[in-house]
Amino acid sequence: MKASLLRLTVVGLLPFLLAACGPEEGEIRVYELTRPGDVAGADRPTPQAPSPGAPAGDRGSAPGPMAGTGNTPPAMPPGGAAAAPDRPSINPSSQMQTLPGMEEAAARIERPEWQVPGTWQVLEPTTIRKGNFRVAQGDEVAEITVTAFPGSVGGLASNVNRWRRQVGLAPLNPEQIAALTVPVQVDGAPAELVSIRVEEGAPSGTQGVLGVVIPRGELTWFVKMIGSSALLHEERDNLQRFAESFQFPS
Amino acid sequence: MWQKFLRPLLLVFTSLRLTVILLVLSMALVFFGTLDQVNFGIHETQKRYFQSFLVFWNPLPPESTNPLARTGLPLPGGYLLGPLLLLNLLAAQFYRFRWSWQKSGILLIHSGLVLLIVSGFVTGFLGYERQMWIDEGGTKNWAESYMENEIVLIDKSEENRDRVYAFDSDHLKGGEIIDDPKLPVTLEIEEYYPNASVRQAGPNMRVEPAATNGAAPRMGLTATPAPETFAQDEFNADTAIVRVYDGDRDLGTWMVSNLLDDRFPPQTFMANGRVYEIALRFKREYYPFSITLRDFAHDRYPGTDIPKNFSSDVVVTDPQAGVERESLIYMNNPLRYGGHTFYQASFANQDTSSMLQVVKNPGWTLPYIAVTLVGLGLVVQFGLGFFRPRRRKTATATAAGNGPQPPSPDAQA
Repeated sequence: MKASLLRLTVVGLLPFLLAACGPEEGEIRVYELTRPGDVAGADRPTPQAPSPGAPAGDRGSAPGPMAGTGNTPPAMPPGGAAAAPDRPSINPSSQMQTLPGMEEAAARIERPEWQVPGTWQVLEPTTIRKGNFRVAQGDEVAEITVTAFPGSVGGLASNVNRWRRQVGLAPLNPEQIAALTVPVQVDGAPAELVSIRVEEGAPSGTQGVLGVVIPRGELTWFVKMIGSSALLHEERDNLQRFAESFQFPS
Repeated sequence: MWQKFLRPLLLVFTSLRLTVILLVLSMALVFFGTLDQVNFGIHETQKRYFQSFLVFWNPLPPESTNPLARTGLPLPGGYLLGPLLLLNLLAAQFYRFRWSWQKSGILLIHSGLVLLIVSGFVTGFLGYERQMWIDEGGTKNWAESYMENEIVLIDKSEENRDRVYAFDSDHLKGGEIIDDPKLPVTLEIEEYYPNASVRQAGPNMRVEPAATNGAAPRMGLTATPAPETFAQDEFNADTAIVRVYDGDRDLGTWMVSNLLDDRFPPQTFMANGRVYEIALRFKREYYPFSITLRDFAHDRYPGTDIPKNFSSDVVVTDPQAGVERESLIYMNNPLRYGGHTFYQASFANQDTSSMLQVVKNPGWTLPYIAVTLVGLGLVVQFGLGFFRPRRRKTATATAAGNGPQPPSPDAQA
């Protein structure tokens, strides 16, 4: 009888002992992470909207009306990061992780000849970035990158929507995207100039993207300027001239 | 003396009547929980009904202003029924049943049931789910919750490393002060909204921003409380107004919200000569390994848009263990690594991003063992029972003189 009671008491306490194993709610957790460039620090990846169970295509949209609140939170990331020249790159793609072999493949791609606008600061290119530039006007900053990838890299709409997400805008359908693009000629071949929130006199901190998508043989070249919307508006002609100056090796 | 008190208790806990009552209540819990899924969604219902001691079911929707909505039919929650069932089963096993080979099947069945209930607790207390979104070509070494939130202070002063101080925010209350020796500063939670409407004031609106520092004054943001949502495809915009003290020095207030995610510049302040970022975000967990998404495939049946298969071609890299492992994750074929299971769960961005559901459940093997034990117990018990009636029949027939007669001593002679 006594043994039964003892066993009964022990096993009866089991669930409550298990309950005690759970983490405490008010616990402070302290840990260290290595910054980007190292995988362990990749805590600021491509912007991603956390919408659990969201229908495909909704993810990554700007934080628009949600949670049944009907709220319209700010759709654009304000400036700040771009204003400080010693801060890391403002281009979210700068933290892109690459696959083994991808850099070697990119290194084999020969860059075209081009003419850089005098106002642009030439930065060191990387194996992925064939061209790397920065332009600043007061506190307003924009970055210009030239990259090339095999194939169509998902097509124009996919890339435009990727850029839109990087500045906190919702994706658009192909018809709406077509309205954002202007056909241009690059080295005798058609290309598309894309403007995403490029606005004259936009408030400081409003971010936009200007891009030129250039299909060329088996590659697609991207000339992308990301930064202050107002500065992008002023630099639009420079970017177009820069892209149109491309002379690809024959 | 103590036996006088415990014996009646023991009789109650070992009674079959209690078993029936508990099973009926369990069925009622499942029934009303299923009804409430309409109002609260699966996760909240699970929390309310199966991870609680008491729950009140009410047919009125949660947003109802009817005073009756605050009451309801009381039901024992899973955390009450589970231990009671366990106690009942164990008490009966130890007190009522006598150990014998004839009952070894029942012992196995009961062991399986006990293990099944225990596995429910192990999963409830130690298991969790996270989401890991990866773009094609991208690498991730962390996943985030889609329901739980945390407030983080990130020391950005070191050149290559960030020091992160994090604590859960879902149970915070306005006026709460977080003064912990582990934290580099003291935080006062001036306001906490489980869901908020965060808006940007228009150019002609004279509205005070929600905080004195950071994104709120820079962008003219205001935050007002909003009713919580439990819909599957929505999430609550957890938002807090936090005042930061560096010792006795009041540094001002910041509005932090899971709406202000990675797309927004970090909100920072300086304390003790160090730069800290402050944020409220979905709770993250970092892993000592990383996953690279090489390719996401969304196969369709030829000539239609009907999905045939979703799969993620990934590489797991674990520098500490020296592992670099390729894996294809698809329906019913998850990747198991480092105590975690990665399931193909969703996709987006024109099929260029994949979402993996990351599940950690230390007790994931227990239900398999439990079901095996129950199955084995049934086989053993029925097997023993199969022979037992034959012997009884034989004995009965012998007693009636109809069965085969034992050889008589005369015949043997």
